[in-house]
Amino acid sequence: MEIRNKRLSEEEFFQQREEVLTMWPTGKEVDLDEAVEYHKSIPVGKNGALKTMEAKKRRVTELFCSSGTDTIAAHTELLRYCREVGRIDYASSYIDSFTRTGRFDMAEKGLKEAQKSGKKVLNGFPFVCHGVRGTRAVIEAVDMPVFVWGPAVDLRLVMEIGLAGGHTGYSGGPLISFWNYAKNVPLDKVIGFYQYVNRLMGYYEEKGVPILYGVSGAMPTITPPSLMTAAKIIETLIAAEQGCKHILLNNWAQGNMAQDIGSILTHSKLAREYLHKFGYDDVETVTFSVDPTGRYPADEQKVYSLIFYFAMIGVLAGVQMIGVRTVDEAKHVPTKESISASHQCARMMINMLQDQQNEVVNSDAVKAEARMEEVETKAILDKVLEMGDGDVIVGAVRAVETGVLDQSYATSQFVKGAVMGVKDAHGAARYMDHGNLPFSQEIVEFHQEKIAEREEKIGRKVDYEVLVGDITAIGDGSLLPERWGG
Amino acid sequence: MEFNSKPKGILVTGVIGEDVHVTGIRILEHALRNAGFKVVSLGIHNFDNDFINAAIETKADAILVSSLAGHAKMLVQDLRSKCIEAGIDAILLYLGGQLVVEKKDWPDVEKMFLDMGFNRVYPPFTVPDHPISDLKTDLGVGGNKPWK
Repeated sequence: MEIRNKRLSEEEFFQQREEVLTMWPTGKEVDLDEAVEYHKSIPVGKNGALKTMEAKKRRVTELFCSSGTDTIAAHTELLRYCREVGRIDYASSYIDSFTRTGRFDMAEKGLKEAQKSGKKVLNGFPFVCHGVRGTRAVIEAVDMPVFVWGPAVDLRLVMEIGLAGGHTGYSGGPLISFWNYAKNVPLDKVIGFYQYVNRLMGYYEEKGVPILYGVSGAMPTITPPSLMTAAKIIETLIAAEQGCKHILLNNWAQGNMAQDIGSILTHSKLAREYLHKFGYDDVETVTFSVDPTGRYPADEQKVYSLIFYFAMIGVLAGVQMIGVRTVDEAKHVPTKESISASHQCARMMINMLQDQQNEVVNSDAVKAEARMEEVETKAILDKVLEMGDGDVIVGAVRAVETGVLDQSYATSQFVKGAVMGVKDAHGAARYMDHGNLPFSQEIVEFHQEKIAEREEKIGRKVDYEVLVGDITAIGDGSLLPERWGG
Repeated sequence: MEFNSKPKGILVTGVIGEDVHVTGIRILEHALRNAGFKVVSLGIHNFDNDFINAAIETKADAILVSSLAGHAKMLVQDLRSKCIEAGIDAILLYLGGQLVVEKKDWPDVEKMFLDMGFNRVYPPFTVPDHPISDLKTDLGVGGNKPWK
């Protein structure tokens, strides 16, 4: 049966749920009604959806820390330290990769080894092994909201346990999981798993427990932002249909300030517009900006500057939440001390800037970027909807097959991979090849002109060598490779 | 991007082993298609038999293996002998990426893999022009189709 953007019926949801809860013995611990009561007993300040909405009302920018380790004791200690010393406002329990790929037995083995040796073994928090009781032990020991974090194909059981365990949000979605976290799983299958996850969140919402859902779209590598924003809006519409009411719009910065700020603005604007178009007017949105993916410099002093820079972009764009990378992560798994130091750096930046009047969002450069991204994103989304006869899921599945939705560096084998981005003379991401994206002549020419300007500046054609330099540039010390030195 | 004329050659590409690094091979695939080759992409998470089966099935001229996690020696040492066993003795084998974990001079790394039966071996951050030019030489196909 073709999958559609339609809310799962109570019967479909509970029927599937029976199967989900038997995926591992700890599934038996989940009692939805009891979990709703448990959430109502938690102080309001520990609900991430409510806290971000409050931040939006007060016009403040708060700090989120992506974190997660294996044992209850180690994870609790990590979160407490980052809260007390790093002064973070929100944290995550990042899911370990065995759990994310459904290999719960391997996660169990790793967890036992970690418990025995006292050393870190897994690369995240194994929700399914800890079960509801273990997960609640962490939540009860910290005084801030904690989210489940990390994309993966099938997180149905993880989310059952994570939410019942007191987490009040999750970030990750069907499109980012499809492009960047799977090889041979078709998009409709991934979306099916996420319809369940989103319906579960919708269930909590109906019972009066706000849950924050973060959409990420796609991981960027010199990716023109419309390619991410289109995917994020599709994830938003899928979530809203299943009853999600609090949506966090994630924005990966890539380094060009006007483009990064413009993208945050466009993403919010279009999310509201498309939610309205489909009648989901009771959905609240908040914004989040996060440092780029990709290689970072090994020198800590250079990374401090990047943390400062990307936090500034977030504050200037007026986001509610900022995520930062850590100063030592190019060298080893970040320590709690380095995580705290990195967040203090970002905090100082936020504190300096957030009470000032800033007109950067109204600058011509930002407006131009925001406008272009809007035109591009709408071209993609409207084609997707047309291909699906109005159904965003049907359209998305067909659009991936034809490359109307595309990514350059997907791990999935079902992606065309015909699009390719490159930096322009100012370090903004442009389409070097727009593949089968449904773009007008105006859009295509805009990107060609921007790339021609770069070619003029560097005195050579933009080719694959330039592209490789662009990808490693920040790690090597500058936004554009032609600025290297020192 | 689809090619319209007869392809210059059929190439099987992929990342070997448990590796998830995909950026390098995706750039290379994009460049190979633009240079007029037919690319049979296997993506991530492949082992030597996956490459060989795909090569037989598609009558490929070359296998291009990418490896970035430093375990290449363990993963590719039998590739040539397995190709011979499978009856595709003449197939070109190219290898590139972060091939070793230990600090070792490039000529020694290159020699080690050439001795295993690879035709060409490339260090990290090789731009696609090099293997493309080598493929044209090794396959005896000329002509340039520049980017854009």
